[in-house]
Amino acid sequence: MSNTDTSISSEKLKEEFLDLITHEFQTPLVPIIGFSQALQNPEIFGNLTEKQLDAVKRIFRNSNHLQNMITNVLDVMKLGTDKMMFYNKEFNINDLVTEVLDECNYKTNEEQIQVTKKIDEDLIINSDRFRIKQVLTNLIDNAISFVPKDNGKIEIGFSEREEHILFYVKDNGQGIKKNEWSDLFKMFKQVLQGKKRKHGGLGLGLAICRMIVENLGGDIWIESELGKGSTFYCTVSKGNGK
Amino acid sequence: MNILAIDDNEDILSLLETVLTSKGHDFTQALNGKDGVKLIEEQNFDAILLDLAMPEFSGIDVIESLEKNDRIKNQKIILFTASSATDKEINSLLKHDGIKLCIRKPVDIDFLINKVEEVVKS
Repeated sequence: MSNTDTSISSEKLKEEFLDLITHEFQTPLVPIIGFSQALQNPEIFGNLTEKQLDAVKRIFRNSNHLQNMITNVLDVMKLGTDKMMFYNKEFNINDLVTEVLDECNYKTNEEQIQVTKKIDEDLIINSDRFRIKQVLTNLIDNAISFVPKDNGKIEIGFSEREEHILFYVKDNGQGIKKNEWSDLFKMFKQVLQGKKRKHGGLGLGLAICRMIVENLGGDIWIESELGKGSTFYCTVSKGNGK
Repeated sequence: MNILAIDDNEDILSLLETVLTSKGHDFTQALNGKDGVKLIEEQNFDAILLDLAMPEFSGIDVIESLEKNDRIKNQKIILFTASSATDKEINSLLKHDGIKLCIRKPVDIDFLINKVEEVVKS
């Protein structure tokens, strides 16, 4: 076998290993997340005691957090193997945003967090639906982490900007200092901050968002005011992406 | 509604049975692709939840088998997968007759129930 053959085979091996660990990491989380959600529904399992319900909610919240981290780490690994692929097709952005909000309902229901969609207008674009959904979900998850748990407000909207679609996710969190804005979208910033890091998690979500929107012919940025909240903006091309 | 789920993970089947029967739906399960195909040949289902990555006889094998004996056209199949590297594969699978949508695992169970009910009504 030549050197080239060995390298191809090693790339293939990496690819298959990545597929395998994705499947093996995600599969056990299906019954963990699913049953801990079902247990909270009295129509399925009857009424739990307050203590039981509190415990189940903690399992549910932490397993969701674990699942988000796994998804982000796997995406970073895909970057390394050039396996993050993009597939464009026509879809309605309004439907997509509604779907994202439906899916994150369970994350906000137990807290006093209100998520509102500011627009209800059909708009068809040709881009990667799955990846845009991933970006919006990451931005909303990020907002959920930083808004006050007793009076959180998150707003999502979109509009046409010439050849692009502009999305925004606005929150009433604590806001972010201007000198920290540019670092938000950098990969591994949490690792670089070492023990000085301010927040939990791996800090990959926003970096992955940046990488996705750049591949879809767009950009991502933040506007924020301390004590008032932040608005994350991102654009994607309406046409064929990159 | 009569729902069939084909998945090699017993815990996932148990979850699907719990949530779907709580909504009053009938539930049938198969722990491997071959048993799933046999059930589809013998009975009519309103929707089929199909795992893709199963050992020996995968979800793709199930689809190919149903295409060979011309049973796929009348089905409403929902792919239910934890596989990551199959964006391209999934897009091409969605072009097949009978395959209505793909839901990635893990999933919010209310979302899953809504989607299954939507597919049955479509």
